[in-house]
Amino acid sequence: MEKIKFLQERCDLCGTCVSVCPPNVMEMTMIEVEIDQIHCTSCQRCVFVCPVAALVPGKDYGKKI
Amino acid sequence: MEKKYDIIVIGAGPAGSYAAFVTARAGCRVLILEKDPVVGVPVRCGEGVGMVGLKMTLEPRSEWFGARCKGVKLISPSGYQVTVHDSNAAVLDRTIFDKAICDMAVAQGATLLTSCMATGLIEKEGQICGVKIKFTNQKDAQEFDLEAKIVIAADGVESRIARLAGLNSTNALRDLEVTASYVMDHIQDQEYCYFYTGKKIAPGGYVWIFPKGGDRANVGIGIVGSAARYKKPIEYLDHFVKTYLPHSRVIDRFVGSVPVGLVMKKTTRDGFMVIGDAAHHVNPVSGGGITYGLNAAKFAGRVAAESIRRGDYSDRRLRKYHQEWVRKIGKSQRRSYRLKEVLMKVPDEVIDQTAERLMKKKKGRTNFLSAFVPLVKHRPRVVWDVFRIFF
Repeated sequence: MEKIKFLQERCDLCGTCVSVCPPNVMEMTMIEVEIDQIHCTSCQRCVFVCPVAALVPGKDYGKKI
Repeated sequence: MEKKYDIIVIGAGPAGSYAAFVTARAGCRVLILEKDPVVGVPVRCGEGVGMVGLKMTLEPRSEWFGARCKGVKLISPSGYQVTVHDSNAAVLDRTIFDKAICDMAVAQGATLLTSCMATGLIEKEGQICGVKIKFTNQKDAQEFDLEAKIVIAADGVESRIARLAGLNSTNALRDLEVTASYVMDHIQDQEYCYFYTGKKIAPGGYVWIFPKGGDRANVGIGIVGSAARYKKPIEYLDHFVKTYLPHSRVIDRFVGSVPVGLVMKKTTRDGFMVIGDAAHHVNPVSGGGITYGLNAAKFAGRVAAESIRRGDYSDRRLRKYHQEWVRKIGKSQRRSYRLKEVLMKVPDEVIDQTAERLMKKKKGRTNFLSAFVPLVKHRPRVVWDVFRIFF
């Protein structure tokens, strides 16, 4: 299950995605952003606001469980 | 390690450290948690600040500042330049500034725990009574529980802790500025802060050049969150740098974001407070959050210390901090928010015409108010908007 794909090499760990996530399913650690793909609603807000395009829609984008 | 504290502050930015300082000075046992190994690193800030605002809470020391400015220069989309002489503008060195405030807190007896992240809150009968922590410098680190009478969340823009406590701190895209910023060298003018506006340069935001002393400057951009969907701020900034600063080199790079909406409706819960960027304590026009955040920390610190003394950590008591902030600063934030809404709607040509008239005013006898004629002609409603800003 991968609704949002995270590209670690681009990420600067700024926390912008976490601040806009309506269901609060993202968590920033010291090296990456962890996404709870099950509870993600595919709203794409994190994809829109990421300043370095480190988040992109994944292959299961928009799917419901 | 001790496991029981009066107050745990999450985040050692200016707001968090200052809240720790106020409460520690009042005699509380305070712990500050910081997820990074060093306080003040990395810097995620344009570093510009107003001296008047800063003096509301702190005695500024000269070593905190990169440069003291004579004023600001506002540049319209077509290049008309309006200079405002104002000794209020200053540029901080956030690495030193953050560390200095944290040291103040530690000197008052607060404990600082670096490389330590808050991963969750502990709740008992509706009362927040502790923090789950994890050390970030160990692999497969275990979670620990720490007990606290009051938890103060100052975890910055992501504001995850507030949402774990059930408060709504999610940012709307239009109320968020996404930023990218470079530290650059070969910047000749070290006396003025520059602001470039324009839909092509920075949609719904501005580009700043803040001198840091030597020949360096903080060059950055903020664009409204809904515009970042089509083109990323870093692309806008690269384009700007190529056009306006072709001889400068990039020394450091960082990205981030600033909440530019209104303060959260509710910033407290039983045993829990949110302050700083996490509570949207930011001026929506400038995107500056240091002044508002430090004031919030001052109010929150006082209320928290009083609560500890009385042994009452209920929302009803802690809420007094939110009420004080809204009473003293809320009005100014609301005005700025409305001003931001107006400025976002003004098209580039009108800004150009206004700037052109303002420039002429310097040389001749043009009335200051007449400079705004094109703006009023274009949007008669602006009169009502400005009226609403002030009343």
